[in-house]
Amino acid sequence: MQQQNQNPKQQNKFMEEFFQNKKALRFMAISTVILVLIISTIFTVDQRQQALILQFGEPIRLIKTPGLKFKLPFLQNVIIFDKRILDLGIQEQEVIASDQKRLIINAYTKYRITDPLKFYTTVRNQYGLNGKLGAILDSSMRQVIGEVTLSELLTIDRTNIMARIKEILAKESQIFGVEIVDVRIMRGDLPKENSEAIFARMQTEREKEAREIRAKGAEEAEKIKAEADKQRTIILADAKKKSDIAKGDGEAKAAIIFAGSYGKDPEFADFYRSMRAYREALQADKTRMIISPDGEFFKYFANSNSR
Amino acid sequence: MLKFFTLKMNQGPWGPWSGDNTQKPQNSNPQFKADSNQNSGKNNGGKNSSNDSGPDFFKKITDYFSNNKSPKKLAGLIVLSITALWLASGFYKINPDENGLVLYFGKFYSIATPGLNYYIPYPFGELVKKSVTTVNTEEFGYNSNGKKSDYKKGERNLEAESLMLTGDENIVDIEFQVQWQISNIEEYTFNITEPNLTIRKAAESAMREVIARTPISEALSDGKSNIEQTTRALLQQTLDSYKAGVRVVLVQLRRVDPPSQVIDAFRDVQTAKADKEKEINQAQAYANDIIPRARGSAAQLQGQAEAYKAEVVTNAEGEAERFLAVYRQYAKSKQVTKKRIYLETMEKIYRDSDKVLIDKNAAKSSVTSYFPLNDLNNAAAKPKPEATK
Repeated sequence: MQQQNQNPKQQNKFMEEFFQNKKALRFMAISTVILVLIISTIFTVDQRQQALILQFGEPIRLIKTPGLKFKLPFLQNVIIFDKRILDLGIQEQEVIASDQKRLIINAYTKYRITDPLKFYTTVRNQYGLNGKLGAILDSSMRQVIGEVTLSELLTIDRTNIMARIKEILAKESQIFGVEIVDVRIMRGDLPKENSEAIFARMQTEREKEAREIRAKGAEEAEKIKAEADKQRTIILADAKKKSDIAKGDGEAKAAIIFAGSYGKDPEFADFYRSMRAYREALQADKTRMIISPDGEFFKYFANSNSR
Repeated sequence: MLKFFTLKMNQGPWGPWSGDNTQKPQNSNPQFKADSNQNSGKNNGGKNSSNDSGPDFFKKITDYFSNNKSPKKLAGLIVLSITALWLASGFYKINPDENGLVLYFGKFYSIATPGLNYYIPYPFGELVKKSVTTVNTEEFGYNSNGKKSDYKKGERNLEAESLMLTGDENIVDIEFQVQWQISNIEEYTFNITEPNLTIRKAAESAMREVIARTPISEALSDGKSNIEQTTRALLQQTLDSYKAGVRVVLVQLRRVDPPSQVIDAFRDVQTAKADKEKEINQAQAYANDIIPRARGSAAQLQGQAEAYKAEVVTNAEGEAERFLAVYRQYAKSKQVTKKRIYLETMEKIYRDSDKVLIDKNAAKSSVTSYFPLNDLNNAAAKPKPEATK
């Protein structure tokens, strides 16, 4: 505080001295004027920019090349415009396709200011443009999508659809002095109610698919089992057949053999075989016989001289 | 910079100042620095400083002037040192992973060469330096940092961002990321605004366009790498059409799922597929079980048949031999042998069996009255005492 009280005195003293020095005063005044003149005459345009020079509010010169530029001081002023690609997006909104399906769509456009003069006279600045260009983008999008079906939008056709929107937008935005670099649809979804329906459909579709898969599994399993059963039956039948053939074969051979031996004396063979058969057939303790004592065996049973 | 400045202040002509009050020059330090940056171009030394500085500084200058210690020399020194500092700020270094641009008066002058270099600093020149090796990642449908981050100050609606309509009017839930880097710093700097937003929008649009022509089954299963490739190509093409100077390194699908509302149904399809496999395997197991068994049974039958055949034939051979042997004897004396065989046979039969002899005459009457057949059956169990011979 003390210092501050002291300072003004000293300052005043210095200033008095300073202002009394005319040379210094003049130098200061002149340099100030020169400085102001330089500042209001020289300006730079960035590589990313372009400029329009206004004289009393009237555009008189367009500067598209970057670098150090000059203008008349005070009379002229400079408006700078971006030269890069600028972005404009529109909010998600409902659009009706030609098949009456409703869609939620948002899109963006990339544009560049090519004619700052037109741009300035029609919309002044980017904010002015955004409103108008947004409206045109909106209407051109509605127009184009109104002519196509949802299914067309869900194909490679989307590229063409976007190209058509760009075309319309480019034509209608010419007056603003902008070049439309690109228009792209971002989201193209169905409204929430439709989404619910789609979810329901997806769910039922999956349920159908799951059932079908399970049924097909059962079908195939049954087929495999049936085939196996069939195979088993065939194998067994085949085996039975073969075994019967083998048995028959054996029996035939046996018959041949018997025929070969018994054939030497069929009558004796008959007798011999019968005898053996009696022995085999009438086994001990299993047979009860009621016999009348005659026949050849009992020839001598009643008397020794039977004849 | 500041260090350099302080160093200068503690020596040479600045000495007398600091003799007055050691704190004061330090206080005015930042002020000085700001001055040198702002007005370095058109610096007028002491005069300028006297306009901008506070009373403390003023006092010193006043002191100095009133002491009449060669003011010109001091002013010259101030101008000189500030100019030197300003010129020194024009040194720059481009690292191997960086690219740079030099602009003079806003106009592109040259690509900055790597290594230590020099440009005339602000307000004449401008240096733009960007890393060209850094890979930037844009995330869609998720946030790896967990924060509800945003682009362009609006909260991202992750659900809206990740749900996409497929070519067959189904909805998939997709998370993906895009990695990119600067490929051409000139284009990147001069052609596009808001690079991150531009890339985000183009990427989302490209992914949605590709998904919109892909059926859901493909998106969920083997079409993923195809989607990634196509999207990357489409995104690169879009960005190239903006001359954005950006290279899309990678488009990667992190997750492709059915929407959460229907995911159970989709999982059930997977389960059903497993069930189907299970059923088929079980049936196969059944088949694998019964067919070899049947073959076994067949082999067994076959064996039995072969055995039977051999048995029958061998028996036949044996019997035939036996018969022939007997026959040879019979042939020698037919009548005797035949009789003997008969008697031997009958003898054996009658000896071993249970028998009842009934006289011829008796048999003529009603024989059956003697034989209650049932009793006979019972009696057959016991040997008969009157058995003869």
